[in-house]
Amino acid sequence: MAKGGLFTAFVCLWLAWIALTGSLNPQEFAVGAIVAAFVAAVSYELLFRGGMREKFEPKRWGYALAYVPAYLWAELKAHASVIYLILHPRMPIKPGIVRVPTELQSDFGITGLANAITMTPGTLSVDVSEEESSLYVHWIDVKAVEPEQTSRQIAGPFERFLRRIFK
Amino acid sequence: MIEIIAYILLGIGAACALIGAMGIVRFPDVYNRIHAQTVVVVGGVIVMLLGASVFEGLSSYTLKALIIALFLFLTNPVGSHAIARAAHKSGVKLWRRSVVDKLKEGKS
Repeated sequence: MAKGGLFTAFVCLWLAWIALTGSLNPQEFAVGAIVAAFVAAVSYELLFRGGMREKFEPKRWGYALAYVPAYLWAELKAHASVIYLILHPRMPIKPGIVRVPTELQSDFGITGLANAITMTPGTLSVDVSEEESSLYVHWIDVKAVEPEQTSRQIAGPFERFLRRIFK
Repeated sequence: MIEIIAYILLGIGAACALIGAMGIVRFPDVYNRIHAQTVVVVGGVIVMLLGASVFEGLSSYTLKALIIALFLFLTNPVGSHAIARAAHKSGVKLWRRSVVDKLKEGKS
């Protein structure tokens, strides 16, 4: 199992190297292979935890694909609302930090949720509390303070997918 | 046709970058300014990179632009989060008209 992770990490890193250099020169390939092998050997344990088989479950990849348009839609809406707030002459912002409980358990899932929240303008994850299993999110336009409401409004669009992508 | 799409994307990117810059000036505190910064990076830079890659067609430049967009996409939230967390830990106050600060209430 661990060997599989090492190999996958090596291939991904090598492909990234080749794509970034953008040349078909064999020297580039050789240097890329050396660097990718070194980085993979150092970091594969961090990148690939658990078995390899479940990484290739088609269902998880299906949800990952379905996540893309849902994410882009949320991103578009968030941009429109923040641009409205910026351009409005009186700037009707109502900022505050709220607690957003999450059902996600895995490290990757929580990271993905925190990143998605930060990447959509208008919400910004400030802190993660593991014992409360919740995120503290700075919200530019606080619409609700109760944990159920914040969870539905802030994490809702992403959590549905992330729960099934990262088990 | 492809050129028109590319120009539209570049225009959206430029507009978002301008509006985001206005937001950074107008918004009152660190946390709100980070929201405006996200508009600049996602709506401005990433959309512009997409526009440039549409313009260029299938080439190594396109591949590089897309990879830069991907890495910006992965690293920008980490940076924003680190700045916000550091600001809150070192006691930077929220804007005086902020409605709620659950993080501070919980810790004190």
